[in-house]
Amino acid sequence: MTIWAYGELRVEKSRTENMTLEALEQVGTSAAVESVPSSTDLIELYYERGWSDGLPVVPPTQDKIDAVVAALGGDPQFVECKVAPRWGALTREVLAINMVMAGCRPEYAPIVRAAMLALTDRAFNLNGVQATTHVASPLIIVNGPIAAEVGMNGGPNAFGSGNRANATIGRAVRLIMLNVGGGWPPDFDKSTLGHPGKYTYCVAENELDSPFAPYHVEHGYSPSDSTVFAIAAEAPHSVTDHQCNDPEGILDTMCSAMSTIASNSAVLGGHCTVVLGLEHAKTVAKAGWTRSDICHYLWMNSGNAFRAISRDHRYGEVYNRNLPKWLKRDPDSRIPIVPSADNIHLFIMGGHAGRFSAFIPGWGHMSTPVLKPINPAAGPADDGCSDGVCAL
Amino acid sequence: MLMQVTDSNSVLVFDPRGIVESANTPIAARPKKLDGLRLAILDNSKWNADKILRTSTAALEKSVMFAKVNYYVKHSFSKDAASELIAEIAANNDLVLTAIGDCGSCCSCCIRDSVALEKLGIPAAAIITTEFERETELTRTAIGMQGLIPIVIDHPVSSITQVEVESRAAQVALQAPKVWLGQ
Repeated sequence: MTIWAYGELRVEKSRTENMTLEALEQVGTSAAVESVPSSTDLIELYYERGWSDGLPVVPPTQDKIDAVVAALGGDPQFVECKVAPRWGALTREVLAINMVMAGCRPEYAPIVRAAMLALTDRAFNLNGVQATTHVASPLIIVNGPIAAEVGMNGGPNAFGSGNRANATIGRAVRLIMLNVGGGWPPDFDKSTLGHPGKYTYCVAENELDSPFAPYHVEHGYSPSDSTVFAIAAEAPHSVTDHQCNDPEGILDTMCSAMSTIASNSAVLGGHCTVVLGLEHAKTVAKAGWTRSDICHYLWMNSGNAFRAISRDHRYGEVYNRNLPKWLKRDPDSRIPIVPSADNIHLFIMGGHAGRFSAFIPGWGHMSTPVLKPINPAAGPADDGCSDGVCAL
Repeated sequence: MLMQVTDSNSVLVFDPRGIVESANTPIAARPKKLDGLRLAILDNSKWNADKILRTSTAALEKSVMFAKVNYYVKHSFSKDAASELIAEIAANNDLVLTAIGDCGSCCSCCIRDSVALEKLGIPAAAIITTEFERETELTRTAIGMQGLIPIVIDHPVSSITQVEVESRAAQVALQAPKVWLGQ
């Protein structure tokens, strides 16, 4: 067995030749550690090593690493997963190092771990998500009590700046994808454009203000469970509707945003995310609609004619093998944005003011979103509640 | 747990990358000649992959007498071929030609499929485009088959004309025999 320790697959050579670095002997540990003069500018050193996402990192200390490892249950050499496409081993110690670098507090550790377990679930196909030329980045959405406990934001400006937990949990996931997974552009990450969510892309659902059951409850968990949902996603596309005061009107506006031929979802199917802002959600809920009603309406009333997807065969006969076989390919056949209403993942977020929602196209059928419990003991609820709502 | 201690004049630097463990597996044994062998075509369902592969096969058949050509399609160009499909190809063929690695995830998966087939003893030629040579080099190293050689054709592929398809196929016909024969 050949063991390549640390960054043999990185392109840049270390730019630290003029710095005195003492490689310390490793005994039963996987984290390479060096000792440098205390006068060293550590932020610059981590930049020079190529271990940053482009923003300054918090230089890890042993005490901070130990605190995160303790929050993960100790055993620093325990391998949580291996991260594609470099297939680096994510030990609890390495996870902790990246979390500290991202600016995380130790109590965020179970969320970051669950997110990485979701991303490395075979169904998610992280190897493809990391390598793709598409813009996609994993979007992490947290449900359950832990979101409030660590101070995550699902309210005003949920996808924006200003919240430490959202910002640093998402950043830690990205640092692990870069440092451990090796997803550095332009070599292993071949994205043509990327998007800003490749710095950090982590939010919580606004369960407190939502008129609906939380996403994870809809999927069989108890409200007292906490989960992470991971989906390969574009950036949020704003959906504005200040006129409509009924479900059909608001959701038709969402359908308009969904029904473009320019997204991967339109031509490759897969999964997508719909985020209803509070005002829109409350209008829809007031009319008695359920989450299922919303997703089915969106599925039934969005999509494109095959004539549009095929460009009317202007560039040659088109079948599109990436769409399901059961879809008719007549010119006027409707091609739904995703193959099923269940592939539309609905979340309620945002502040009380503003009639705005968002559509977030996915990467395509190549990746399946993953919902993971944050507390490993949590699982689908077994409380006699058939639809989850009675558990609220 | 790290046991090193520092004095007041030094601080520790922690490497965030984690180790990679991989065994470098050699490629499959190469045949002496191609005539009489069964060729598997593995189409990854990417745009124009079928055109490139069918045109390339026709070009190859001008100089090689394959015993049989079997055509396979995998469902997703950005995912590894199912292990059942890899096993079926390996059981019924002597050589593989697969395409097209003209995007980040499809290149990665073409290489990964090729490595899986090589490990089962089947010489595999993955067609990638010039934009993805570096990714191929890194991928084969990461998964432990540094001797895997791809077929490299001009980028792009997904939006090209039939004349350009034929030009790319000529590149394939030139390189594929060398990959299979280990030349």
